[in-house]
Amino acid sequence: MNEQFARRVQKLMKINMKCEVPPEIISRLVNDSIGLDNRITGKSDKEVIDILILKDDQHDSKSIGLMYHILTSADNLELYQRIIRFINGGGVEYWHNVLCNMNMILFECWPHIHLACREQLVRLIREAIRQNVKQIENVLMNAYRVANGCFDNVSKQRIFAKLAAIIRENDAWFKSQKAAAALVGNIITCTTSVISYTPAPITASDTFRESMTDFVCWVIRNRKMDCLTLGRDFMLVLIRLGRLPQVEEIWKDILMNPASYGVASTEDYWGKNHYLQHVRISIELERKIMFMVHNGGKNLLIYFSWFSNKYFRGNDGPALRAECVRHLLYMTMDPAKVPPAAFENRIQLLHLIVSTAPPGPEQQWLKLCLFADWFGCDDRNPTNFNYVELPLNVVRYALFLSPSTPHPNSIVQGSHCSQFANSLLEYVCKSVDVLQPSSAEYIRRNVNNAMRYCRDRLQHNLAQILENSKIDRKVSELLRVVFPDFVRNPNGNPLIRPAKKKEDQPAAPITKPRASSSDEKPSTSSATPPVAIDRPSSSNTDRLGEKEKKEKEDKEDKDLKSMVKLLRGEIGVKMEALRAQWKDLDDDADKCETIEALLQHMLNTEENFDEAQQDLAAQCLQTIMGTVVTPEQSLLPEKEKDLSEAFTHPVYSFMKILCSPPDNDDNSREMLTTMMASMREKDSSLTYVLLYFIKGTYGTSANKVISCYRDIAKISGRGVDEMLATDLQLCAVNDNRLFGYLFIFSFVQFEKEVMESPMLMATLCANLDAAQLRKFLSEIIREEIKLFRKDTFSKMLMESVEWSTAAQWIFWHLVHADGVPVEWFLSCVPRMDSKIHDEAISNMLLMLKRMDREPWPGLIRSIFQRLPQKDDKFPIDALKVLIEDSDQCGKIAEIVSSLLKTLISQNDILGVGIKSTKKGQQYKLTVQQVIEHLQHFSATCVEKKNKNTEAFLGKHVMQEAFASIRANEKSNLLVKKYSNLFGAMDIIAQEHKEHSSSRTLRGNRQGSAGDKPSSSQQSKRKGGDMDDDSNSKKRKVHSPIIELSDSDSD
Amino acid sequence: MSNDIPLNQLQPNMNSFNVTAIVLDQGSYRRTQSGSIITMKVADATGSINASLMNPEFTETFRPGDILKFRGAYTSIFQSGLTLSLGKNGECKKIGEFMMIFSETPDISQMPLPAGVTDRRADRHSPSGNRYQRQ
Repeated sequence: MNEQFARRVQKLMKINMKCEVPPEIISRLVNDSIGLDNRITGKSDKEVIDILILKDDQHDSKSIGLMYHILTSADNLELYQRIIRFINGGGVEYWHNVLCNMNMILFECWPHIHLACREQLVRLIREAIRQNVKQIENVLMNAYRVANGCFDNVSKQRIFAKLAAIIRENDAWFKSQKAAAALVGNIITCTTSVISYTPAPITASDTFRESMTDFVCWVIRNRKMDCLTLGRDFMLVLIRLGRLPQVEEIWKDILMNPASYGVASTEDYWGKNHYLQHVRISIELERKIMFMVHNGGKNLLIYFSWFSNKYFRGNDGPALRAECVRHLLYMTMDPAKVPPAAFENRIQLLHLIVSTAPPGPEQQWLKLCLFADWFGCDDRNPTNFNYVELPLNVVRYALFLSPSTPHPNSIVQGSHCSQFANSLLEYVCKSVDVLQPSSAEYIRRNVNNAMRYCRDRLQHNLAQILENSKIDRKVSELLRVVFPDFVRNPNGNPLIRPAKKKEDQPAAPITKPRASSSDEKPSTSSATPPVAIDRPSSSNTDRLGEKEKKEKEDKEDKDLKSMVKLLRGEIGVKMEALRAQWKDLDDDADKCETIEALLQHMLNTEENFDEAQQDLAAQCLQTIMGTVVTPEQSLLPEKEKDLSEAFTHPVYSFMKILCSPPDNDDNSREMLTTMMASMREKDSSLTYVLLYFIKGTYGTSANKVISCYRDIAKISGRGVDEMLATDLQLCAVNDNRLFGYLFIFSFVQFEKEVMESPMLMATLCANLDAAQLRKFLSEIIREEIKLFRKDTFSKMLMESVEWSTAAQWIFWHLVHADGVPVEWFLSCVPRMDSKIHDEAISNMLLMLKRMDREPWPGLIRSIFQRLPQKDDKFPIDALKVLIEDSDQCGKIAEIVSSLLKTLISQNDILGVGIKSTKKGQQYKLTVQQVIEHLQHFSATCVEKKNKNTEAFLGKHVMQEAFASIRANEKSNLLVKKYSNLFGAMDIIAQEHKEHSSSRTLRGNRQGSAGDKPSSSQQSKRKGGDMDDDSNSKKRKVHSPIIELSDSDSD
Repeated sequence: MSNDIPLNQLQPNMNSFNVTAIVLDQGSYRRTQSGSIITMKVADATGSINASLMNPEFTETFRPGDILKFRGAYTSIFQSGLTLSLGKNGECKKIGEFMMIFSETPDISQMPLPAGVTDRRADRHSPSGNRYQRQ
């Protein structure tokens, strides 16, 4: 690499040649410029022009070399003008070459080159516009596109200001452009994006934001008709610009004079897509997003962290996020060309972009960008439906995402998962009325259209989202109001069907409280919420529904035909025959026979029936057979003895062959499993139906065939526990009776997975009702089911604290029923938060109270391991519970004393909440931490009726332990700091001494005393002694010391 | 790139090979008694490995996501793990960024070494062979 090359590269970009190779296109620019210079040095202008226009094999190379000189001639006006003369000398055709090169530089070099070089390119654009070069508007559009990439604020502002100035000074050219809708769209969206993050001016000279706002408004006013190209993104632009006077003028103009914009009202904008979304973000961003979508996979989070570090950290981060969201929603993805994971990657990426944005207005804006297509999902424009499924998939993704430890290389922290899903749904529901109040009804209709489309696409999976247990009650209520046809009422009964009942009860909309009187005047209906207003049109809705159903059927039929055509050979012919005759087949038995025959043919075929063909065949079969699940009818017959007649649907024929393939052939089994996995992708209810079929058909010998369920999970790329949890959750939502029939069976068959999977346990606990719980407990008691295992219990317990209270109570019922011993949760004791884990803490205390074995050092250690806090009563209560029994009290005292002595001998004396280096321990236990707990304990529990605390603290071993603390030099500090506890120990010791001596005296006097006076006797005796002057004197001294103040320990 | 060796095919005591990898962890630049060293974690589609550049001509570290081309690299054993190293005869340059498929696993530097391969560096410190060896 010679010096000249390096010098020229440095003129174009900042680069350390020792550790970086210049981008290929930069090298080409430099090499071609050197080549050109060799040819034109010393030649006259005319000769140079002749060389340039000569169409030899160096033609492209010469024009690229020329671009180098344009880019680097910022300080050399003479050179620049000379090159312009060369270009002009080349004529229109040569200008065309130059425009191509300009586009190439915009696409490939823009992010790398110096600001001065970029400005030179803008200067050339200006020159081209001045000379009215044909198609320069395309270059200008690309310039806007790349200028909206990632740079520092100053550079970005300078480029935008220059581009705006070019258009302003050539306003006649701009206004006369006939086909410039894309240019206008890009100018409006890109400039608005820049305005949105430009901070408010601090000085009077800072007029950038103001001038850009004026410029956008000027563009809109001069190219009104072109704004329609932007569709609903034009509404987003106006909303984004905010309530500026200039923008308000435009709003008024649209409302007063919509015809001049080519629309009847703003609703026409909402109902239209912006088809040029893909040209609004820079090439650099577009390529990286495309790469992440195609190749992200398990590294998507890492790629995204790099991406967001580079693009989203600056002031323009939120604006770029919004651009990326819109771009991703409209990204064209051909299923035949992109990898299957790309669709899920896109959803994950959208989720990451929105959920990692700073909360507040910026995140709200991203939510609007995400759901804008829902608000404009006008069914008059069928293409609107292409963009509505993705936002709901983002909700689904967030809902089923379990919080995980962030990757060490990643800046992305654990997202809020279900809370985020809740916030998205809440946003949609609340926006309906406030986004554009004058069009609230229109928007409400549109979001319902969008939801209807999603229901048709997702089928039963929609209920899995909208009625998920992770959806907050508040959000569920909102959903019920906005989407009354899609969300069931709270008690889980079938979907609300307003049409029939409404005639009888016109004045009782579901949103009204029950208290509303039946004699309400009809006039009140006008004041009812929009949902109620919507209701009278339900017959229209039904008609619309029928129409849509027919449209859907037609579409499915069309899709099916095209899929069948893709099937090769005889299978394709047979499938086509099956499709054609399906509707003519009279009953299920005939259908089953036909399906079985086709499957037999598939299994025996010698044609090339590869995985892709199997996938296709599975999808065709599934579409032909239809779904076995119906929304309002349970699959389970009323009487269990009718089960033998329940499996008549053709789907069961498939399942029958899947479970027992002919000749028990592994290849056949594998093929059918692959097909089933493929069918499940479309209808996820199929696998719980398979469980039902296995249980219903095979009964007690189900364990012989259950492996096919595991195989399906494996092929689908899921864990068995994950698939089972999803299936049971879906079953609970779709068919609660069937859930009751299946869950015990599932838990027996998948015992190992159940013991390891908190997700499965969460599904169970969230869905069991009282009768099912009783049935389940009975199974546990009869030792049919074992739920918990020692090594996985603590993990499950720590997960359970995040569940709803009801689910947690059910979990603890199961824990008690399963006979989980206290030892299993000891490692969790220090990690429980006293403020939020109430359910777990109270159950732990109950278990300690019912504990039927002697306390042991590990138990006491784990209690003291908790970080001492004033408002944390768990250690106090736990100790109190443990010393209730007088025998046990002595044992506890021994353990505590021995613990204190051990800690002293280990020199673990001072400090509270010191991080432990030992694996599995959060904090290192010290004498001070134990003393602090004991101080809280003694301050709270002395002078109670049973005097257990005094008895505990007065034990000889406890006194010894405190004496050894006093004796240790290092722990002297503790004696001072916890002087009240040490004082109390002294007094208790003295009292015990006196009591024992008086007891001895009394015993001597009475001759024979009882062996062990009970505590009640003791207290009575003490009560009797209250009159004793000396005792009352002591008590007076005692009281102020015993009533410890916690402030000491702070 | 055709003569690049995938990371998972690296073996102890290999010399003068080329590798293309993406930076996962930018690591650090530090001075030692014998010069300077840049350490980082890099990966390609077959796995990840620790890399160290001895006495580089530059002081700035690469950024995560940079795609690097190593020429004339060799493997060494450092802290009982295989390391991709580059000496004064080698070259390491950024050739792009971001768009490279990689896999963090297996972490080749964490994998057990083949039998008989020892840490020469450790040998140097201990006159009687491995300093952790029982006498």
